[in-house]
Amino acid sequence: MVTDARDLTQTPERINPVPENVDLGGYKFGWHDKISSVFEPKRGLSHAVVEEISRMKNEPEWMREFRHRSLDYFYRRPMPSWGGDLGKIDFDNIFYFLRATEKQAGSWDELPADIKSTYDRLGIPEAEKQRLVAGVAAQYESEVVYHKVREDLEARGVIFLDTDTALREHEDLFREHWATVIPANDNKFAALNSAVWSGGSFIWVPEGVDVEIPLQAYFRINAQNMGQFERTLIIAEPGSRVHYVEGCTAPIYSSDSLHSAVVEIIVKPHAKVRYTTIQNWSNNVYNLVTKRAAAYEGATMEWIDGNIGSKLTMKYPAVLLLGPRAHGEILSVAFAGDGQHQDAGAKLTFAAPETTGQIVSKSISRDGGRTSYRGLIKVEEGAEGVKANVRCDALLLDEESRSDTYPYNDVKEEDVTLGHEATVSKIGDDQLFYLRSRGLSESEATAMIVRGFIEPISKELPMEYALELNRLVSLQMEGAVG
Amino acid sequence: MPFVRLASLPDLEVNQGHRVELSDDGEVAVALVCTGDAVYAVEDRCSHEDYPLSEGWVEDHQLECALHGSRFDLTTGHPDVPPALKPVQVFPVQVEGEDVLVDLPDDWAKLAAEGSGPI
Amino acid sequence: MESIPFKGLDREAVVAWSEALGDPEWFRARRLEALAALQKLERPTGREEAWRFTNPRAGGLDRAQVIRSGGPAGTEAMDRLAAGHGKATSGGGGAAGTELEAGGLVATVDGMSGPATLADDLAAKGVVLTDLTTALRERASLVEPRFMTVAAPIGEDWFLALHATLVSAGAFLYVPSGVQVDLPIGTLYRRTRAGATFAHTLVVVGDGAELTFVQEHSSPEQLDGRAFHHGVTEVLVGERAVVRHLSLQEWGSERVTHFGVQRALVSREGRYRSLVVTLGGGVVRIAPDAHLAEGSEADFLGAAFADEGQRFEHRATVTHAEPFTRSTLLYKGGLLGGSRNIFNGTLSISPGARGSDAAQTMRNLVLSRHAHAESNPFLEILNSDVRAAHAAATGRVDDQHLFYLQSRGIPRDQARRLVVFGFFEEILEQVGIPAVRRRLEAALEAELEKEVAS
Repeated sequence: MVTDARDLTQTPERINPVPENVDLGGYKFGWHDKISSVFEPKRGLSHAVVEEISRMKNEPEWMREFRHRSLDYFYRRPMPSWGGDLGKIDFDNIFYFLRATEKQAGSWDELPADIKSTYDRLGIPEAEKQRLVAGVAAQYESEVVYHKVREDLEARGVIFLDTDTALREHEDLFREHWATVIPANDNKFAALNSAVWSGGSFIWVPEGVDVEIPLQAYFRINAQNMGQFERTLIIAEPGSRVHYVEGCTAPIYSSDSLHSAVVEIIVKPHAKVRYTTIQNWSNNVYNLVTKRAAAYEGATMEWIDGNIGSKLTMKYPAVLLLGPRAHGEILSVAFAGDGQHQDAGAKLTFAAPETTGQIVSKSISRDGGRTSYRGLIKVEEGAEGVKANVRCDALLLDEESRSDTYPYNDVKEEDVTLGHEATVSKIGDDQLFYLRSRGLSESEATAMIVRGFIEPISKELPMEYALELNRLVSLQMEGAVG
Repeated sequence: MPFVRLASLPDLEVNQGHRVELSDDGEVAVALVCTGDAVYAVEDRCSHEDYPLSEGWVEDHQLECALHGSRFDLTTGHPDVPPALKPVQVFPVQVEGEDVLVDLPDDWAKLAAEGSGPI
Repeated sequence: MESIPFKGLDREAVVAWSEALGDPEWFRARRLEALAALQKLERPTGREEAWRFTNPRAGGLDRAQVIRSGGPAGTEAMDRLAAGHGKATSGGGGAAGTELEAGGLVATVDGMSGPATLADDLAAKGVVLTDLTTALRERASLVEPRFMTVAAPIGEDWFLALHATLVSAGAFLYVPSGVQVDLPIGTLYRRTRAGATFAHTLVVVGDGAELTFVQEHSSPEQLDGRAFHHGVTEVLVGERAVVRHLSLQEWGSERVTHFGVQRALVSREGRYRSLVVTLGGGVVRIAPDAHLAEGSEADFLGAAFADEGQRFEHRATVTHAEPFTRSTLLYKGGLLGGSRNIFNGTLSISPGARGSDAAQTMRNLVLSRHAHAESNPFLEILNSDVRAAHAAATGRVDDQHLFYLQSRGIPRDQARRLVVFGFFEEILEQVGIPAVRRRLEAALEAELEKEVAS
């Protein structure tokens, strides 16, 4: 059995080159003053690195120990033998602790050509381009909005901070819920995240409070965005409601090649949480995410998951239905183009009576891309009256692409209604013919059909995301963007 | 419920699970764990999925299942975190000299005897 | 009775076994090749994906004697089997009191096969049916190029290599091009005593020919120990040929562990139908597999009914290797008591298989709180110009159906039985052999009668 990450590294392909001139200078949403401003970026993973991360952040002893134990778990867990091809990740050649600006391209010119052209095509104004380049969500024109949202949240007692700050300012609340849904040794990459996590969101919604506006990272303080090892924790007290949105449809270039985030959500009785993600990482990124929610009596959890970018994404949003009449829903859309593998899916575990769930997965492969749906429906003994439905549809746009569906349905109860359906197809010739005969070009017609295909999911997205997603579909169909 | 000799002390490494199979298809097996101060015996099968606990890590008198990480208390057999929800069986152990004797349920003891000793 | 212990299998032991079985030279060499491959392969431990659901060490193989028993019990069982299946005739009218009219029969009991019987008119048309041992000696030219070379290659995995090393009995069936075999051919496998047996069925069907063959697996209710049976069936379907393959697992005892591998290679425009019915045995794992060449078709049907203590796994694979291929799969399972039934299906469409059409449906009807049902239909699609769909459903008896029947005066228990029966009818009505269908229906009814209303 493998016990050391060093055993796992293959002949390292340099997938994470060191930037020539790393700028350690100031930036807008920086760290707290207490942290030393002199820091040497180091490559590689070790207990020493973990110790340094924790000291830099001035963390309490228990968190430091948690990180060290997590690193031990990471070392002794074998790599998963299923899913995507993780053979080229070189754990020793990665920076595990860098601040935001050091990781992103230093300027517009440094961005890869295809990304620059996407931004141009998407009609993104100059100011926005800067934002995307920096990777930090500075809302130049949204200062007013920003402040209004923050005032409103504070008045209602909602806590919305980055995870590091939350640990400092709300330690008891934090510790009570931390790693209760996803323990450090849950899987290899959760263990990695648990050891080197930095950034992410912490949200606590008091009992009965309904947060109407979708919360996004830029509304929190210290919005170091799109971190490599983000750790998000959301707690919705009984009867509360909140919607969190992360990510961006525009392609984000990251020189980091390994992203391993963890999102834990606790939905207490009769509360409702929706978590929407759209990721479009550049094609050098391995995006391995563990996302799981625990839903209690009468609670509802919804995951909306959009996977557009990255070289390989392995992500299976999960809901544990632990109280009667809890409901879990996962809507997932995945696009895979040349050189991409989206290995995504969903997991629903029914561990209480009268619980219900629904999974809808839509995937599209083109140019030799590969989408895989990997899902699990598990009905435990004692979970009577479960009703669940899974629907996975895949579109293959050409002869080179690939789609897989790996559903597991494991039922240990009698009083259960469980259905699963999947289809794989290409765009119908008659559909295309009809649209073209109405004057649309082939790519316009294809784009329209694809948009219709993903409509059940895109209609659940916040307006601006849906619009951007539709525009992106058009671009992709034109083949103008990779 | 008789005490059956399942191993000798030198066979056991500290803080490492040692598997003793009682049936030839591996379905009935015991995991022995020596923690330095005591020897424990639990059924060698995670209550979550059919995986031998003897392959896992031992720490703080807990045996962790290598597959999904649930940790079982060696004295009570109870798991601390999901995905395992049910406890595993634990058996009293007596060490006499170098012999590790485990108090097995009758049918398990019978298997051990039938197979002319554990495999 | 010849026997060889599984433990400590080495070259010397295998050579002795081969001599006892009277192998021709070429087959002895093949066995030793298999042994060499076996020693290099890793024995499955149960952690592999393919063995996730069934313990590969079930059945007591480690301590078993591999047997080939021709003693009195064997011959008697053989005769009884054959008689129960009627005289081999073709063109109508089996002997009175027979269950099955067969065009031919080979019976194997406890690892030993009796001589084949074949209808005269079929023999006249060039159909060959012999027990395996005779085929190895007398039909080497037909058998040697095809025995575990393409359909179920020796070196592919540990169990196949083991099988080739130890196989002692089975049947060889050859149908020349263009020949229609009107009556089904039966290969009967029976166990009456403890031990491990390895049996092989090789079926070769020429271009444009047509055949139905039935494999029956049975045992008495009482056995003196654990019986492990490993069966490999290779079916080579010629171009435009039509083959129907029924595999019935009706073991009377739960001390039987049965691992069955079925591989069909379907040539251009051939048609292969596999029907698997599993009602008996303790641990049963059947893996039907079809590989489709251009224009060919496969239809997989399955019915499994598991009762307390039974663990069944059905693991089907259909590979659409070439264009314009079509397949369907319909597997239905019923579970009583603390039983377990797993359906795994992998539908694989290769890059060049454009114009293909495939569908998989799995349904598990759970009749008890303690049962464990799994349905895992997998798709691996590498060509876009296809239609592929699957559906899986798990649930219990629909309350509405029950209510309807009860409101017509039918007591609840009976109503439940009717609904379950109706559920399986879709499969059983596809069993084209009336005698077999009646027997299976009776067996299913007997299972349902046993059920205490929950």
